[in-house]
Amino acid sequence: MSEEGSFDIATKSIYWMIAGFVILMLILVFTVLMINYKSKLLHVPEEQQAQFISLRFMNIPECFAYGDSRSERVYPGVIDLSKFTQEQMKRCYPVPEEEGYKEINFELELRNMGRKIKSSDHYKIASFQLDVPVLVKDGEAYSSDTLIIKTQTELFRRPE
Amino acid sequence: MLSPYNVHKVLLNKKAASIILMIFELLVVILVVGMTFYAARNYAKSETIQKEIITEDLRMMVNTLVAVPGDAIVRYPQDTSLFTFILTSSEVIGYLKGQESQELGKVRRTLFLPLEDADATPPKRAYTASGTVEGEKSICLEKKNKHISLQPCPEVNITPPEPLEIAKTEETP
Repeated sequence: MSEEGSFDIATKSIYWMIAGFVILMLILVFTVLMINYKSKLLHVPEEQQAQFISLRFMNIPECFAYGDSRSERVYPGVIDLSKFTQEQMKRCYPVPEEEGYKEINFELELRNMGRKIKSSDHYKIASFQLDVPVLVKDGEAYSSDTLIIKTQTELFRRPE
Repeated sequence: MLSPYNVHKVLLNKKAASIILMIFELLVVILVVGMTFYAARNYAKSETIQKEIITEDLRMMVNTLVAVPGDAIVRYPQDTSLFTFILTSSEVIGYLKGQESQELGKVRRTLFLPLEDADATPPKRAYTASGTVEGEKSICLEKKNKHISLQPCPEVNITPPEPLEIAKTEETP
């Protein structure tokens, strides 16, 4: 092989080594970009998801809304204080205890009444809170209050 | 032998060959960038993405319907004829029509519907959900009492109301 020929082969192999590395990097970057793009496309704001779930707390008698047993009429936005218990919360939003931290969890507080309840895997790592004006029915008495919904978004592992 | 690879060595001088090579490289780069955008655009419109979006939407619709004290029916405002959706009391499953055997292609979204008795085994549900739709163009979620069902939308024939006859009043001079 001539000197020029062997120089050509050496140059080409260096060129293809660099080109191969650049192409590999480009493929990797493109894959990461596509994954990010996909997650951006599928992203639903946690506030929105939490708001849809938390609607049930004030609106249905299976959660905390007051329902007249005789007329079967439900009063959305009226919290029955006798239902505002930990057991009712467990029935209303039953996240599984073993892997519940992977889901959205809530802590509910009636500001004026000073009563708090939470779902089974709420570790007081609230990401944001929603304030909802409500009426509270305590026996025969009604009073206006604010339901504070502290939301804990999905966690990757259970806190210690 | 004259091969296409070394033709430039014979026919072109060194400077001309490098300019042609540069133009060729630029064309390749433009082509690759164009193809990347095309692939990304197609990916965004692809059934894989649509399937995930619709399944998530259905989950949010069920969560909203649970919070409605009365009965309601909601139509999903998009063509869903390419997909199959299964609704149970614990999850929504979505996949491409005819691919029920491919577990990896299924999208699952969990639901937590209110219970009547949380301590019973299995827990007694206050709300239930069920329904399967396969290749339906238009799907609806209906809440009746405490049951939410996923079903093809019922055909609704809306006839426009007849125009009201307005009594003519006699004009008085």
